[in-house]
Amino acid sequence: MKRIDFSSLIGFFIGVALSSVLVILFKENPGDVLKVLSGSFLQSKFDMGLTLFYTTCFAFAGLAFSIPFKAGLFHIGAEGQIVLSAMMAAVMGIILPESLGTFGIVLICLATMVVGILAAQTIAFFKVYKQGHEVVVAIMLNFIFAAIATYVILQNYQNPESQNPESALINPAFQGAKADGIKTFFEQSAVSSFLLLAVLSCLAVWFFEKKTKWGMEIKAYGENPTAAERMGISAKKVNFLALGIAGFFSSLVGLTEVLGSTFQYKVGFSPAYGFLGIVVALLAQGHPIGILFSSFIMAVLHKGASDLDLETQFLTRDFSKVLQAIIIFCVAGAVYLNHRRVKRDA
Amino acid sequence: MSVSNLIEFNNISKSYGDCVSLEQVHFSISTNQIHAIIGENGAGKSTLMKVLAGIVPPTSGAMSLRGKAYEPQSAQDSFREKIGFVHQHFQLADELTGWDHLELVARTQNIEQKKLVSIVQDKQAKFKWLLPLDKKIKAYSIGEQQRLEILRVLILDPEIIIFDEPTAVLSPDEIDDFLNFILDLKKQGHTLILISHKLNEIKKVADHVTILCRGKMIASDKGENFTVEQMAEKMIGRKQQPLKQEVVSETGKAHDLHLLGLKLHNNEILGVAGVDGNGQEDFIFKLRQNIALLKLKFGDISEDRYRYSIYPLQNLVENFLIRHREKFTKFGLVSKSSVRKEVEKIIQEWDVRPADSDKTMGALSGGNQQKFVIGRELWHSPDVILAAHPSRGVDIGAQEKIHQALLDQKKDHRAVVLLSSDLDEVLKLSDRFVILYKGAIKGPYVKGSLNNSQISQIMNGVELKGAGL
Repeated sequence: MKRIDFSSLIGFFIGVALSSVLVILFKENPGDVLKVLSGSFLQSKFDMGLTLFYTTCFAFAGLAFSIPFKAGLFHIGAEGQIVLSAMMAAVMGIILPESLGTFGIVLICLATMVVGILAAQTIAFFKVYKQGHEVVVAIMLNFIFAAIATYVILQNYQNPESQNPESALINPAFQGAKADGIKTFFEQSAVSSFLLLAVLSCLAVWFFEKKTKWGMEIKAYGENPTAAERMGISAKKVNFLALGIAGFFSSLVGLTEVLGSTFQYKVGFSPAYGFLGIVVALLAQGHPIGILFSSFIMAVLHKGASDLDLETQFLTRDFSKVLQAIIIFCVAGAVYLNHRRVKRDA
Repeated sequence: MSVSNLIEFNNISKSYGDCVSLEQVHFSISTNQIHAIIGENGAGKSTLMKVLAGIVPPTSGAMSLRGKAYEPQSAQDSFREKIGFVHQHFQLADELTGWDHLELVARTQNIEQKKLVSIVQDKQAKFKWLLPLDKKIKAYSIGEQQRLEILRVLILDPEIIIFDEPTAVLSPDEIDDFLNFILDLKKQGHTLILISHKLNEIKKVADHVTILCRGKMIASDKGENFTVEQMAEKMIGRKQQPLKQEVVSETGKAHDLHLLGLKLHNNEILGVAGVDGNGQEDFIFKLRQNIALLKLKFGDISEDRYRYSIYPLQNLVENFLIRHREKFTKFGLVSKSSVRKEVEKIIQEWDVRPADSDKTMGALSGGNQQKFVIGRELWHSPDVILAAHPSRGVDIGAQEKIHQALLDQKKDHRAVVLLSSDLDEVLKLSDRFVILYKGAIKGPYVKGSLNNSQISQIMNGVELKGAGL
C-alpha cells in the first residue's frame, strides 16, 4: 500500500496561515478575509455556478500542464493556446451559417481543437527540430498568439454594438449551452455542461496514464529520457504527443469560454488560466483526480478574491494574487522538501 | 578498550521502516590498517558506511572514535573528524573542470588557493598521476573521475578514508595501480576502509576483514586467517559453485550476423575487451544499429544501468512493462496483471531482494537492480544479447548466477556479446574475443591463442604479428 502524500496539503495550509499574517499587517481581520475568500461562492446558486465555471477552466488548464510535466516538459504555453483557440471558436461561430445547427457546433469544436493542438505542437516543433527550450518558446508564443487573436477579432469581427474590445456574439443557433441543464440549474451563471466534460477528462487522463501504452511511454521518458530512447521510445513522439494533448485541453478552456459562457471573444477574458493551471497541477502533484479537487479550491479562492474589494476596507482583489503567490510558494516548497526527504531515505 | 582501536561500532542497528538493514553490528577498526568490509548486495555495507560518515543516523547503538563517543549529525561532522568518503557513484558536477571542483571543495573548508595548489601538485607527484585538471569533468574517463574524487577527499587531509567499491569501475592495469596506491596511503599513516566484492584484491591488501551477511556481522578477523574461498563461503552462506560449461554442438543452426565486419555465431560468446574509453560506446551503438536493421530480438544489458536501463521511481512491474510494452499491449491498452506474473517469475528466478514487485526500482540495491535487469532482458529469448559490464558492482553470488546464465544462452543458440573492462571476465566466458583500442577492433582471437602479456600489449596499442585468426 502506498502512503498518501499530504505534503502539498500541508503546504497549502501553511500558505493560508502566512497570508493571514499578512492580512493582520493590513489591519484587517484574517477571519473575515478567509470567510469572504472561502464563503463567497455559497452566497447564491449564481455564485456557485461562477465558481464551477472557474473550476472547469482550471481543471482543463491543470491537465494541459500536468501531462507535459510527466514527460519532463515545463509547459507554460497554455495561455497562448487558450486565447488562440477561443478566437477560433468565436470566428467559426460567427461565420458558419445558422442552418448547420448542431453540426455547426461540432465543426466549431473540431476547428478549435485543431488550432489548440497545432498551437501547442509549435512548441514541440521548436524543441525537437531546432533545439529550442520549451519554456522560452512557449513564453514568446504566448505573446504572439495573444496578439494574433486580438488583431483578428478587432480588425474583422468587432462587436458593432459595443465600445469594448470584443467580438460580435456567435450565431444564436450555436448558443445551445444556454439551454443546458447545468446552466439552467445555476440560474444562467457562467457554468455549463463543460463541467461534466472536465470531470470526464480528469478520469480519462487518469486512465490514460495508468493503462495505456502511450501514457506509460510519456511517464518513462519523463523520468529517464536516455533509458527511454534506448528502449525505443522516440523523443520526437513523446514531445509531440504530450504537447498535443496539452493543446487539446487548452482548446477546451477556449471552448468553455466561448461556447459555454460568453458566446463571444472578449479581449483579456482569461485571468491567466494557463498559468493558474500550473498551480492547480502542482497542488495536485500531477494526479488527474487531484486536479479536479485542486481546481475547485483555486476556483473558490478566485471567486472570493473578486469580493474582497466590496467586503473589506483596505484590501483589493489584487490581494488575492499575493495570496495565490504565497500559497504557490508554500505548496511548491513543501512538495520539494518532501521529495528530497523521500529521495534521501531511499 | 585498547588505544589502537580507532573506530568502534557498538551494536549498531539501522532499519528503514520494517526493513532491517543492519542488526547489532559490533566490531572495531584499528589505526593504520586496511580494513575490508565485504558482503553480498543488501548485506548492509553501504548503510554501515553511511552511518559512519554521518549521512544517516543509526536506529540504535553507538560508535566511538579515538576512544571518545562519536555521534555525527551530518557529513560535515565526519569531515571535521577527518573521515573522507570516496563514493561508488561519483558525486561530481559534469560542467565544471577538475580544478574548479577541487577549488569549490577547498573553499567550503577554508583552504587557501596556494595551499591547495601545493597539496594537489604534491599528491599528483607522489602517486605519479597526470590528471588533466583543466578539462571538464564530462570529458574524464571513469578512472580519471575516480582519481579526482580521491583528490577531493585527500585535500581535506583525512585520517580515515572510506572507499565504496573502488575497483568496480577500473580496468585491470588501473586496479593494480589502485591497490598500490592504497598501500602507499597506508604507509603514510592513513587508515583505510575498503568495501569491495573482489576477494582476490582484498586478499592482496587487507589487514583485517569483516564479513557482513544480511545485516549481521558474520566474522571479523585478520586477513591472513581467511582464504578467498572461505571469505566467499561466509559471505554468501554456502559454497561457491563452479561454472558449468555446456558442450555446444558445432553444427548448431548458424545464421551469421554481420557486425562491423565481424561474424557472430549464434552459439558463442564473443568477448569485447579493452580499457574503458577506447570506443566501447561507439561499438555498442553500431551493434544496436545493426541488430535493429537485421530485425533480431535483442537483449540489452546496457553499459550504464542508471542511464539506460532503469526508471528508479517506477516499480518493478512498470520497469518490466516499459521494456516489453509491445507484447502486453492490445488496442493501445496495457495489461498489468499478466505482467505481474512474469515479473514475479523473474524475481524468484534471480532471487531479487526485496521480493516485492510493487517496490520502486530505486529502493533496490545496485546488485539487485542488475539482476532484475538481466532477468528482464533475457525474458523474451533474444537472438542476440549484449552484456556490457554485466557484473560491475555486483557481488559474487550474483556474479556466479549472471555468468552461468550467459553461458547457458549458448545452448539455446543465442549469440552473446560480452563487453567488459574486466579482462578476467572476458577470458573466462568468451569463446572468441576482440580488443578495442582507440576505436579500432583488433582480432578476433580464439580463446587461449594469446597469453596475458600479448593481450596487454594489444590493449596498449602494440601491433602483434602473426597473432589472431
